[in-house]
Amino acid sequence: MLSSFLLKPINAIFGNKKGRGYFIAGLVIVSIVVLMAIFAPFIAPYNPTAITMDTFSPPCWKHIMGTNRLGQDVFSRIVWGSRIILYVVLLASSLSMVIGIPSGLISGYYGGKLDRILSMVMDSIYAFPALILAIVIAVVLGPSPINAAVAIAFVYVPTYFRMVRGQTLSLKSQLFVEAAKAIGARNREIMFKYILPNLIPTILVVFSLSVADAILTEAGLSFLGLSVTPPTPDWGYDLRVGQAFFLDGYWWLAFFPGLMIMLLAMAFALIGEALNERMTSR
Amino acid sequence: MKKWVLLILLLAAVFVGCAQNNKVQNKTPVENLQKSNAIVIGVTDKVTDLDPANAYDAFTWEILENTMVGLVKYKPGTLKIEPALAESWEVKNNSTVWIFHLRKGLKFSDGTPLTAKNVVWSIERVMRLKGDPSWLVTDFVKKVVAENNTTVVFYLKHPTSYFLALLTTPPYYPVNPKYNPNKIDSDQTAGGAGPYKIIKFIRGQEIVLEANPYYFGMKPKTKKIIIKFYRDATTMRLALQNGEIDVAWRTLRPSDVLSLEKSNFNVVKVPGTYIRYLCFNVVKKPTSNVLVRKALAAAINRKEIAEMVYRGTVEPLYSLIPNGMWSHLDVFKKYGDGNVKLAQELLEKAGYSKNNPLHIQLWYTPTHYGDTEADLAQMIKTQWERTGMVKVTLKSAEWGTYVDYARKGQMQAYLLGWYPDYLDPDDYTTPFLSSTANSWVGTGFANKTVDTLLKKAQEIPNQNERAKIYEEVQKILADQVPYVPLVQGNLFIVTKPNVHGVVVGPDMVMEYSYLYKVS
Amino acid sequence: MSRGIVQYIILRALMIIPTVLVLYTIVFLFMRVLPGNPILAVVGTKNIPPEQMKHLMHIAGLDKPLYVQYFDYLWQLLHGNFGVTLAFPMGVPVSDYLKLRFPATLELTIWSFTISIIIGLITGTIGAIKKGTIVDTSMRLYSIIAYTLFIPWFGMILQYIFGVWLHVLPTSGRISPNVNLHTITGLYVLDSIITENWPALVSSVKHLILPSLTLGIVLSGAYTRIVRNNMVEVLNQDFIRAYKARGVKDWKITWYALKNAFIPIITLMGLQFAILLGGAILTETTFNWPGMGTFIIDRIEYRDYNAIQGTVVFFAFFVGLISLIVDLIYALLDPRVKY
Repeated sequence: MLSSFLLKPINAIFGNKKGRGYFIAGLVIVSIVVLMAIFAPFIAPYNPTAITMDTFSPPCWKHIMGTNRLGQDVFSRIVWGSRIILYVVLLASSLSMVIGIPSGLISGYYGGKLDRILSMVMDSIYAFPALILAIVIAVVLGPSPINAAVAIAFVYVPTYFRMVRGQTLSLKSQLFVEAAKAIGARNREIMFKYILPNLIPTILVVFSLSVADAILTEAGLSFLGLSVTPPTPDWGYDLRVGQAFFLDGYWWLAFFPGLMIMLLAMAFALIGEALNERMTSR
Repeated sequence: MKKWVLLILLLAAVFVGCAQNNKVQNKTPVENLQKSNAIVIGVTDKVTDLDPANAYDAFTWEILENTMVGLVKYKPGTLKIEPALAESWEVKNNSTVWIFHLRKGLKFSDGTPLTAKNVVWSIERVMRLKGDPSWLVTDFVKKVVAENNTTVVFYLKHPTSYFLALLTTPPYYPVNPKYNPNKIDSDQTAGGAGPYKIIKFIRGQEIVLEANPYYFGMKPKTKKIIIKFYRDATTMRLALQNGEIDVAWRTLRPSDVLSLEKSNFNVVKVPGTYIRYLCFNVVKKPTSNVLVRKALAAAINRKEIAEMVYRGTVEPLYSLIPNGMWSHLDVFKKYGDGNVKLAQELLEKAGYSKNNPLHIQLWYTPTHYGDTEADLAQMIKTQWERTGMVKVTLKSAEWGTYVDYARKGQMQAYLLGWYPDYLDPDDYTTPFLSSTANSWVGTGFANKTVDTLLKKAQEIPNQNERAKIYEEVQKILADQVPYVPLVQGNLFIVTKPNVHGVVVGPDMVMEYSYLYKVS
Repeated sequence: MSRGIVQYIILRALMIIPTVLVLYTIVFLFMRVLPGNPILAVVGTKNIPPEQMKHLMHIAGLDKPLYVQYFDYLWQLLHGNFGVTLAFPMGVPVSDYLKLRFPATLELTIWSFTISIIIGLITGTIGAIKKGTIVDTSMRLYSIIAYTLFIPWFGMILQYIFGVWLHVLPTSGRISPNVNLHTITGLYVLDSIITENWPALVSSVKHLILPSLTLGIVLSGAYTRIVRNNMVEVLNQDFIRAYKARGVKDWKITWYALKNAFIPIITLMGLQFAILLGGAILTETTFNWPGMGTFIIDRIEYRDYNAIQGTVVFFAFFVGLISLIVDLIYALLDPRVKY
C-alpha cells in the first residue's frame, strides 16, 4: 500500500531502526510545509492580505487560527508565509552552496597561498555570530526577501566551505585520486568528478542542519523587520507584531507563527540528525 | 560541585528575599508615605544631548523644559504665553526689537546668580556652536545684548510677530555657566533655572530629578522624579503592570492604552499637536499630475485609518494646521473620506482605467514612527486599490536612508510625521509650502503666491490678519495637494490609580511639577 | 612553562588580528555602500540649512574620502579608541557605551551558559548511560526541540507564564528601579554581593531568571548532543569496563567518565561561543536587556558607523579571545596535544 511504497526507499537508506523515526517525522513535516507552499492558493481559505473588520477573532470554526489586528486570517497567513520562508532559506542555502562548495574544493585541492587567505577569511566569518552579521548586511541592503537571502547566504558560505575543504584535504591524498592522476585526468575533473561525489552524503547532512539554522536566522531577520515588506505574509514578522498583543490575551497572533518556525526548523534538524546517524554508524 | 552550591545558595537567597519583600509591603503607612516623595516615569524615548544648543527631539526638550526655563513660557496646559524669567517686555520697530526685563534675584539650580549676561552668553553660545536647532536662533536673531543686569534686548533680522513662541523653546534658555562654552556638552547635568535639577543621569537607563530650591516659581509637588528608559512599549507596559513605574508616558501603542484602560489604570488623554501626512513628489510622474494627487486624496479614508490602524487613538486631520490651532480650516473635507467614486472620476480624467491602472510606489519607514507604520501603509494601499484603477507597490527604507531619499526627491508618495518646533501656524506651513524652506522634504512644491503670503504672515503682528492669510494658504494647499494630511495624534499618559496632576500642554511637554501621588 | 607553550599562545593571539580585520572590512564596506548617513538620520525631517549640514558632516569626519575614513578608524582602533557616536547622541565615545553595555551581556551569557551546561550535562549523561533506549531517544529529541525553539517566541511564552499569569518574575530590565546599586564591575549579582546590598541581589537575580532560562534552555539543546556523544565515547573505553568488572558502583563510574569527558566537552562548548552571542541578541531584544545586542540594533537604525563598526570589532575580538582561552585550556590540560 501507499505507506509501504513510501517506506521502501527510506528503509533502503535506514536499514536498521536507528534514525528512521526521526527521518520520517522530519520528512513529514517538511512535506506538509512544502505542500502548503505549493498549493497555498488552494489551501488558504482567505486572502491573507485582505484587511477586514473582523479583528482579533479567536480560533473558531470560521478561522481555525483566528484573525489578527487587521482582520486577516492567521491560518491563511501561515499557509502563504510558508512560501516566503522556504523561498528565502532555500535560495540562501543554494547561494551558499554554489559559492562555498567549489571554493572549498579549490582551496582544499590546490592549497598554498590561496588556501591560506580563503581559509582565514572564511574562518573569521564562521567564528562570528551569524545573526549579527546577517542583521548588518540585511539592514544595509534593505528589507526584501532576496536581500535577506543574500545576507543569510553570506554567513553560511563558510559552513560549506570548511566542510568541503576539510574533506577535500583528506581525500586528495587517497589512492583513487592518485589513480585518476595517473590516467591523465585534469585537476578540474578530479575535483568535480572524483572528489565531489564522495562528499555528497556529508553535504546532505550539513545542508539539513544548516537549513535548520538558516530558518532560525531568517526568522530572526524577519522578526527584526528586515526580511519582508508588508503586506506579504511572513512568519517572523507576524510573530513580532503579534507579540504586542500576546499580553492582552490575544495569544493566537504570535503563537502560531512562532510554532511554525520551530516546527520547520525542527523538521530539518531531525532529517539532518537522522542522516548524520546513518553516516557515522556506517 | 561548587557550581551546585552557589546555585542553591542563590536560589535560597531569592526565596528568602521574596518572603522579606512581602513583609515590607505589609508594614506601616509611614514607610509607604516616604516612598511617595518620588514618582517613577517610564518612557521609550531617549535623551540625546542635555545641551539646548544641540538637542532637537521631543523628549530631551521635555527634560530641558523641566530643568531649565526661558524668558517666557506657556501657561501649563494652554497656548497662553506668560512671564517666566522675564517679568515684562516691550516690542519696538515693527517687531524687530524686543526688550525683556528680568525678575530680581534669579539663581541657577546650584545657587549661582542668573543675570542678563547669562541669558546673552547662553544664546550666543547656541549661535556659535551651530548645533541642530541653532537655526531657531540664527534665522531670527541678529544680535542680543545685555543692557544691564536685568535687561536683555534682541535685535531681529526681520519682523517676527511670533517671536515669543520661539522664546519658549530650549535654544533660548539660559544655561548654567558650567556648560562648555566651545563644545556641545551632551552629558552636562548642571541644568538651568527650572523647577528641577538633575542629580543622576545614566544614559539609556535613567535620569533622576530633584526639586530646585532656587526656582523662582511654584515648588514642585513631588520632590523627586525618576525617569526610566525602556526599549519598547511592551516592556514599558509590563513594567507599569508590575508596579515598577508609576507613569507610562511616551510612547505606548494604541493597543496598550486600550488594554490598560480595561484594567485599573488611569488613562489621561491629551490632544497632541503632532501630525501624520502623505507627501507627493509634484515634479516627477505620475504624481506631477494634480488630478492624480486629488484622486488619491479622495480615496483615503481617515476614519478607517484612525479605527483600524490606531484603534481610535488619533483624530482625522483635514489640514496641515492641526485641529485646535487658530486659523485651522478643514480644507480637505471637500474630497470626502474613502470617496471612491470621486477618485475614479478624477483618475479617468487623468487617463487611467481598469485596464490601464495607475502604478504608484508608496514609501514608509518601518520603525521611526512606531510599529503601526507598516499597517498604515497597508491600509492606504488597500484604500487606493479599492478604486480598481490603482496598483500600489509598498516600499520601505530605514530612517537614515529614508530621509536621504526624501531630500533627493526620489520617492513618489511617502509617509512622514511632524512634531512642531514652535506652536504657531507658521511652523505647520512654511516648512512644507515655502519654496525657500521645503527642500528637506523633497516634494518640489513651489508656488509664488504661497511664498508671498507666508512671508507676509511672518511679519504682520495682528493675529486676525495672519489667520486670514493662513486660511488662504490652506485653500491653495487643498487645491494643489502636494500633501495629504492624514491624522493628528493624541497623547496618552497611563498612570497608577493613585497618581494625579498629569499636565501636558499643546507643546506636548509634561510639567513634572504638578505630579503627585497619594497612598 | 616551556618555550613551546609561550610561542603557541603568542601565535594564537596574533591570529585574532586578521579575523578582526576581515570583519571590520566587511562591515565597513557594507555600511558605506548605501545612501543615508548618521547625520541625516539625526537631522531627519528638520529643516536645516545646507551649510549646517556640511558643518555637522565635517565634525563627524564624514566628508573625507572612504579610504581615509577606513584607515583613520583602524588607526584609532589600534589605540583602543573606538571612535565617537555619530548619531543621537553625537560625540559620545563608543567605548563608554561598550563599557556600560558589555557587563550586561556578559552577565547574561555567563548565567545562560551555566544553565545550559548544567542541563546539557544532565540530559547528555542520562542519554549516554541509557544509550539506545527510549530515554536516550527522548533526550536527543529534547536536544533538537530545545535547539530549534525560536528565542523571541519561547521567551514571550515564559514572560507570559511567569510574568503576567503567575506574576512572580519580572519580564524586562536588569534590576528594579526602586533599588539603588553601586556598580563596580557592572555584573549586578557580583556587585550586590560585594556591596552587601541584599535587596539588589534579590532583584538582579529575579531579573536574570527568565532571560537566562530562555537562552540557557535553547543552548542546552546543542550541548546535550555534545555531552552525550562524548560520554558515549568515554563510556566505551577500556578503563570503564575495568571499573565495571571490579564492581565499582554505577554512579561512581558515571562520575569518572564525566571527569574524563569534561575537557573535550568544555572546549567544544567554548567554540560554540558565537552561537551564544547570536542567541544573546534575540534574548536581549525580547527582555529589554540593556546589553550590546540591543545597543547594536539601536545604532543600526541610525547608521551610526562608528558605533556599529566598534561593536562588531569588539565582538570579533571577544570571540577570538574566548576561543584562544579555550584552545589554551585544551592544550594545557590534554596531554595528547602537542604544541
